Parts: sequence; structure tokens; C-alpha cells
Amino acid sequence: MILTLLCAALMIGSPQTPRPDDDAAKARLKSALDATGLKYEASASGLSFTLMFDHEGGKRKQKIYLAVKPGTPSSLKTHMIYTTVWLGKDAPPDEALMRKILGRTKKLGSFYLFKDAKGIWVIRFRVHFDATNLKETSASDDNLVINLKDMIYFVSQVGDETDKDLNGDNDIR
Amino acid sequence: MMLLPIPIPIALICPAYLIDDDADLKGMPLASIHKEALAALKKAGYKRTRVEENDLTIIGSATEVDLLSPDGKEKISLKFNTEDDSTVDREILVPETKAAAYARYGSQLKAKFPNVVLVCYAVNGKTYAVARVELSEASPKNVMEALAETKRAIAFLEQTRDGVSAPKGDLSDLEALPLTANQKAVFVALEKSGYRRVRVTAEPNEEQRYVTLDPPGSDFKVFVYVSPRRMRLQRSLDVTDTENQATARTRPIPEKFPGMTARVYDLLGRISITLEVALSDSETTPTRTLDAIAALGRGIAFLKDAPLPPPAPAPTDPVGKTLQASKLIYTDIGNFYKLKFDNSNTKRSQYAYVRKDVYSYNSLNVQEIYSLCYDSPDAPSAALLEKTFQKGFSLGGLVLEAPSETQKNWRIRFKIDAPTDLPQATLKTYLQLVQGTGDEIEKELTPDKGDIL
Repeated sequence: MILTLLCAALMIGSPQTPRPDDDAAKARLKSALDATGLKYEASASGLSFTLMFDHEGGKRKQKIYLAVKPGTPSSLKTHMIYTTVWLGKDAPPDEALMRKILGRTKKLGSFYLFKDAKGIWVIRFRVHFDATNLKETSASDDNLVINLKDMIYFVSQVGDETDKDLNGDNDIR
Repeated sequence: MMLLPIPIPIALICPAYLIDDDADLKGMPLASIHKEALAALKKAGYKRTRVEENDLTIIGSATEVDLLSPDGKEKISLKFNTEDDSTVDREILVPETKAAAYARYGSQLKAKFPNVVLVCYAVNGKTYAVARVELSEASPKNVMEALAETKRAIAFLEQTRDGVSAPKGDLSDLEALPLTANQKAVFVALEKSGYRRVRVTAEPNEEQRYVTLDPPGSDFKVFVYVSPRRMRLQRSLDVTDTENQATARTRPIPEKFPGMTARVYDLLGRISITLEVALSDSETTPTRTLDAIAALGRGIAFLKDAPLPPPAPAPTDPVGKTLQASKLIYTDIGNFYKLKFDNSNTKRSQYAYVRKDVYSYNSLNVQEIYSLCYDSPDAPSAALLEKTFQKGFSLGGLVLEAPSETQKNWRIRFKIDAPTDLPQATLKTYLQLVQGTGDEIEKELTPDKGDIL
């Protein structure tokens, strides 16, 4: 029974009721993000913090999303960090592209498919930041803050490399 | 074949005294005062290189004139308007983007030269900063004065661009930084010691608020990050090491240089080591700052002289050690640990694996924990991939494996990247999550194949 609950928490597909401690998790995440010193802003929907990175001396850009609402598998608190690497208008990627990208192994993280409410298909790259032990107020030399910053850098780097590989000069952000 | 004589253009055989020096001004919408100004400039040795009517002027008329200075080194642009202010422009090339050039030079120029307007523009990837004086009356006297004013402004812009410090004790270039009194005193002292401020970066976030210093007689830079709480002094060294080698090289730093920290950055394949000494505001004195800069120099020398360490072995399987201490039952199968989980509620079993290899990226060290959820000689269909890889997870994700030399099947595995320093309790949670999710997806993808994985 415990196991079923654990895994149900891990997979997010069904609507989740807001949890009272989501605001606290958001505040902790914001404090950690502030402590990284990175420039960010809240997304229009308020669901994410977004960061824009320059690549190749500003010729290319990659937008990184940091989900505000925490995932809560088991007793953990996690936040997803993701970026878009491919965009299809109204059709999913073809089989060859799916095999090419979904089979790419990175040091951390994984690629996944997403179809938005308007029917647009995208391929994204994501990692999860385990924020379970995040302090209420973070400092720039906290290990978790340094890890968060490096995870963001990693997603930005993989995102741009993959974007360039798949889309060439058509810079997907 | 008969050779025809080559016609010689008439202009080439005209005697010199017949050439009209002001022919370029004919037909231009110039007021008499403008012509007087141009005559004065000609007398002073300025040479006209272009005269054109500006057709885009909405009110009245305009004539654009480019001049070369008497020494032939500077280009000056004049615009004579009949119904508006005339302008005198001098420009220089600057390394910043247009927006950054405005940010860097705008307020400083305004403070020093209130009559000069900064205009920045970009062409073919190059940015130009223009010092402009606007004249309601473009008389010879006013134009000559404007030329002198723009000359001084351009000299100031050049000094700022090339990093020549403002007069000693003048901290106007640091206005945009939130400096404490102690920090201001340090910058004045550094200037007196010959440190040139090469660049001031004042972005909204703390990581981008720093001053780049050029120490006297040196070929390196010192970066001074400032915040009201503290001042962080940094020097960097690019190395040809691998990331692991660079990390090993920096290991003795905290012991040899107390208070100094070292970080290794993988900047898209270029490895750089940054040494840092942080001073709290109460510690921020000129003496301590100079001592810290000297210590950074010794730290860099130490890094340079340190023999290239052998590739540092990745931390050897820390998660394995945690697993061994956890009392969980596992089998060592070479590159992996294999654990079997019996799930009483579903009456199914599932294997989870812990990879012994450690993957590193900057501060991140992880070991993969995974469980298979598809394992078949048949490639998964596009529909199956589409459905499966749309699943959302609050931790971990899926990876597709094509057949290879070591395994002949198509596989999909669910994995979590576990930090190598995770405690036993978290390891157990991760393993439970991995095996439970793997089993659930297996059941969904291959319901008729039984419980294999």
C-alpha cells in the first residue's frame, strides 16, 4: 500500500489539489534562486521562474524554466528544471526523431515529449532538483544553491546543444 | 587591328585655377551662416569628404557634411538644419552592444559634459558611440566650440573604453554600484597603488556587480564582486586539464591558503579555475584587500607550478558504500548492483539497479539508479514512445536504449540521478520509487507478457 502511494506521487498525470506548504516551498526555492545570483523572472502564468542564457556570445539563447510548484514523491520535495529543444506545429516528432532524442543519455536528466493545450508538440529536456533539505533562507555558498546553479547551467548547455543539433540556425528557446 | 586614341576626360585637362573648391556645396539647402561656418572650417584645415542633402528631414531642409580633421585622423559629421538644431558629431568604435554602450558611457558622459549627447548605433556587428553637440545657431564660432567640446568628450570616452581611470579619488564611474564606505575607501586606495579600473559591471543581480581591475605592471585581471555584505576578490586561470584534473589541482588550496576557495568551471569545454577570497564589510580595508590580492597571486602561482595531477579517479562508487551499509540485499554484477523487490500489494517483483560509475558536472556528482520497464527485441512503436515519453514525473525520467554490442534488445528504463552523498534513508526512498515506477510502467506497456523485469 505504501509503495502504491509512493509511485502514485511520483507520476504526475492527474490534477493535484493545492497543498498548504506549496507557498513555503516556493519561498525556499526563490531564496535559493536569489542566492545563485542568476537573473530570473516569474513566468506570465506564475507557474515557473524563467532564466534566459546566452550561448555562442549571444548569437543563440536558451530559456530555462524552473517549476515553482514542488513535486512531492514520498517525503521529498522536488522542482523540475526544463527547457524546450524541438517544437512541432501540430504533429508529434516522427519515429526517427523520437528514437534519436529519447535515446540520448546525459550525465543527468532526460528528454520527454509534451503536448500543450493548443496541440503544439515539443521535446524538452529536464532534470529534477531535490529541494527537500533546502533552508528557509539560502546563502550563495550553500551546497544546494551551488547544485541548483549547476543544474540550471547543465540544462541550459544540453538544451542549446540539442537545439542546435536538431534545428540548426533556427534557435528554439 | 587599329588602335583608337583614348579620350581624356575634360576635367583632367582643366587648369587647376578653374576648379571650384566649393562645387560640392552647390545646390545644397545651406543658410548663409552655415556657409560661413564651412568656410571657417576649411580655413582651419578641415577637409570635406562628403556633402549630401538629407531627403528624410520632415521639417525644412538639411545638409550632411563629413569632415576630416586637419591631421587627417578624425572623422567629424555635421548636419545643418534650416528649421531645427544643427549637430556636430564625433564618433568612436566601442566593444559593447548598443544597449550596453548606453549603460556604460551614458551617465558618465552626461556628468562630465552636460552639453554633449551620447548617441549609440550598431552597423555590421560594430557599435559606435557618438558624442553630439546640438546647436540652435550653427555660427562659425559655435561650430568651432562644438568641435572642441566633442573632441574632449571623445577623449573621455576613449579613456573610459580603454580603462584609463578617472582622476585619482574620483569614484564617479562606480556610482551604479551599492558600495559601502569601506569599499569606497578600498577603491581609492587601490587606485593610488596603481590599479586601473578597466570595467564596471552593474547589473541588477549580485553576481553581475563587479569591477575589473588591471593591477600595476601585470598581464592579468582581478575581479572584485561587491555587495553591501561583502567584497569578493577573484582571479581565474584557464587550464588544459580535464575537469577532474583541475579539481585535483585545486584540492590543496584551502589548506595552503586559509580563507581562499577554488572552483572549477566547465565553460562549454574550456576548463577554468577561479580562486576567491571574500572579505566581510568589517574586514574590508585597503591593507587586507591588497593582502588578499597578493594571496590570490600566490594561489595562481601555486596552481601553475603544481605538477599536472593524474586524472583524478571519479569518486569511487559512494552510493555503493551507502548501499553496503544499508543492510539492503543486493548482488554485485560488475558495473552495477542489482536489487530485487517483492511488492506484496501487487504480487509482482521488480529489479532495480545502481550504476557504479559516477557522473560529474561542476559541483554535481551523481550515480544512476534505474529499473527497466520495456525489454524486447521488437522496437517500441512510435505510438508507444509517444504515449510513454509524455509521462510526467516528479523525480526522474525515462531513457530509450537501442540494441548495442552489450545488449541485443530495445529497452526503456526509468532512472533517477542520485547525488553521491545521499543518506541511507534517501537511497532507500529512491530505490523504492525507481522499482515501483518501473514496475507500473512495465505492467502498462506489456500487460500480456507477465512480470519479467
